Amino acid sequence: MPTFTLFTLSLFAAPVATDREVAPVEIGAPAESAGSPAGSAGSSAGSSPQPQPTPAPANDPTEFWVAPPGVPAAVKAPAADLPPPPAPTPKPPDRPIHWRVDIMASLGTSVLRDLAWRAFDNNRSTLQGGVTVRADSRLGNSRLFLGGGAMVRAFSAKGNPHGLFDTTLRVREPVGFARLSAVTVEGVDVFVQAGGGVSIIDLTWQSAASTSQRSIVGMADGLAGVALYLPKRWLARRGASRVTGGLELGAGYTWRGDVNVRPQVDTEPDPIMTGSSSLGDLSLRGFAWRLGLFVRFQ
Amino acid sequence: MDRLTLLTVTISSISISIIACVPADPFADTLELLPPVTTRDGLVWVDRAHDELVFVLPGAEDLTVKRTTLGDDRTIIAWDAVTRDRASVLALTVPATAKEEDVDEQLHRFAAEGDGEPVVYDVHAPFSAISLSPDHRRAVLYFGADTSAEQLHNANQVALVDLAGTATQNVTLNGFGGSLRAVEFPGQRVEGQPAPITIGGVNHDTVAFLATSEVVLLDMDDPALDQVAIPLGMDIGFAPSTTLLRPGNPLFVDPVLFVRSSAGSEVGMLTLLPEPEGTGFTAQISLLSVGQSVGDFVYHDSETVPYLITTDPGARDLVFTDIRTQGGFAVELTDAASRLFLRDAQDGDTSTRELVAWTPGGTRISTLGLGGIEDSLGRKPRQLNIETGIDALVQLDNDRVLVGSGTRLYVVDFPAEQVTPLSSQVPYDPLGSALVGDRLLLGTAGQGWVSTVDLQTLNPESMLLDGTIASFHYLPGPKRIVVTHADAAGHLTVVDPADPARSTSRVHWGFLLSGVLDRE
Repeated sequence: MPTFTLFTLSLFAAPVATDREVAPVEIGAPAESAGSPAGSAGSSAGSSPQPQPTPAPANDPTEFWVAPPGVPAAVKAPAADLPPPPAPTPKPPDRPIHWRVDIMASLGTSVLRDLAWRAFDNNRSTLQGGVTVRADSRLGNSRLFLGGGAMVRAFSAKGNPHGLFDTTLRVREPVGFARLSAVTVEGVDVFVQAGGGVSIIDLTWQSAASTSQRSIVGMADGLAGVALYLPKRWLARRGASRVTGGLELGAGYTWRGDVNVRPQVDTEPDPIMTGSSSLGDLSLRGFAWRLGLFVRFQ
Repeated sequence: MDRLTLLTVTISSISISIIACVPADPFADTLELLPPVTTRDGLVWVDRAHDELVFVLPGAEDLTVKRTTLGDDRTIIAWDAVTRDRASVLALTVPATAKEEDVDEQLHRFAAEGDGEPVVYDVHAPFSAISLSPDHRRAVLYFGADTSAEQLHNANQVALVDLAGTATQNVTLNGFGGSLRAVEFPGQRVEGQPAPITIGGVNHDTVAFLATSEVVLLDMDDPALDQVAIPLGMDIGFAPSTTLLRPGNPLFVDPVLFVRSSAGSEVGMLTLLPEPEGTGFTAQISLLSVGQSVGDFVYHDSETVPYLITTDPGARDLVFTDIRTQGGFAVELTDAASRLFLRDAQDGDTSTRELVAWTPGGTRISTLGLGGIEDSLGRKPRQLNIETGIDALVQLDNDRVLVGSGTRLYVVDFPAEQVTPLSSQVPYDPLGSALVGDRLLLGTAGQGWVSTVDLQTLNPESMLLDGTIASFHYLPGPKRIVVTHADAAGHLTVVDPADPARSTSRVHWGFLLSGVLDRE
């Protein structure tokens, strides 16, 4: 972790990289017609060098080129004889990135150390899935982006403790978080985020009787990682692109409050007053990592 | 070694270390629980998987669960039992495997509440059976049906355990080659009351070991533990099954130990006499011929004659034998009888003894007044009909018995000669009942009701449970009925016998798994 911290700080301390705004797009020469006088002129120009025409303000929107001073007007091809040159697409203006909005779907695992977890799953790792919406904005002219978001995460498990009972556990977590990203080069961000929320835990413990329990406990997690996404220059609209996408890899630790497992017997209407014993505490804490795919609006 | 190789080796080592440090799954083993025993205050389960005793103590509203560790990975809890006063729980630990050679077999005595440290007795053998003295003072451990897994064990080895103290005595019976079948404490007929046998003016706290074709008597108070071994006729196939002690009195001065055989037509009569020298005792043997067969026996002293009364199911007779002369007579029964007991009957202002005879599967209960039985001429037993047959008979008190007959229950009142039938949904199980004052409590396994019968008014009441009964228990401490339901997690219902109602009952679930998630 110190290594990672130093790495992150070095990124923040490095000189500011070029902006995401790409260099001006070079505009190429218009297409030439094989039988045009201009082509002849071009050829003769090749044999006797002539100054290159420079673009002039086009009074005629169909014309991009005008004869230089001293060139006979006869050189100009009659409009009736030459096909009009293709109209180039107007170059959209570049959009400097001031804010970003991401929608992400993620998968990951959490390694739970509490032995009580083994009553619900014989595997210490549990697969988690989630959907995230987040937004951030640039801090001044720096490469840092600060923001936050919300995530809904879920995972579940099934167990068979002692070969006698069937157990299930399902966790759903609405989480809010704050996030700080640094753009190392366009297309590669490193980030840290911290958040909290609640874990809605539904569990069942099936013996000869059916029992169930819902618990809501607090949770918090911290995550750091890297986000890789398509830089603007790789996109069709280049500097004017509004949408990109990428993937994110993060790792961290998730803390959840202890759950006192005391499931209640599912009874028929008008039962005898029924109580349950506490089976102990369940602690769903542990290291986690996740891989996400996101679409970014910027 | 370049950096890449070093990094690879480091990561691999860390990964292997992490995998190696993964603790074992604590829920992988099968949960093995022995059936519960009933103490004064609660139920006790043996959790063999965790080497623990689980004390479950129901209160009026809640349930207290205490777990006590017993033994370790090298031992296993072979069995448990509750003392007759229900104040203690006994559990025997034996080596878990034959490879554990330095582990001793130990009997542990816990308080019924599960508090405090247990008293530990070194018994030195993996005994499979226990017999508890009715006076609550002693336990005798022995090999019951030779079920020991030991390669070689002494079938006649026993351990005498002082339940009031910490002493244990290991004894090998000096018999004649017969294997021990049962242990009895003759003469002890009242719970909690010491009843030593007085022989020649000396008290002997006697235990009888019933072996194949022989009986061994031993005075447990004798420091030398002198034994009296009595052969009873291997040649005639005498197999001792039950004993009956008749204390000495003016009609027959010396105490007599009657021994019934599970086969044959004789009753062994062991007259206990003081040793000519010392303070010990010896036995004088005689075999009483009492008809074609012997179903049951009791003794009765008339005004002038000490009788041994036996049933002869084959001949449908009650046989009266004068133990002084071994002469006797028979009284004919309408139906065969194989069970006997005596009760006091009021005849006007006088009280006389009355004999009650019945047999499982029979349809009649016979009663015979024993007043003036010496003059038996023309005397005929009275009959009470149980039309649907007798499956089980439980003596409620001196005047009443409860008869189970299929799905019917009969309350038989002897003084009134009245038989009151009660209908049930399942056959009566004596193990599923308790008598508390004048209230009979019923909770037969397999049914979903707890019932009570007021024996004064014979008014039955039933309370519907939320589950079927696996076992029925009455706890005299908190005065509660506890019925368990089949569930490895632990599931029971606590019922107030004074007011059996759903509103006053409580159901508890999961007590056998209490704290299971917190185990390391």
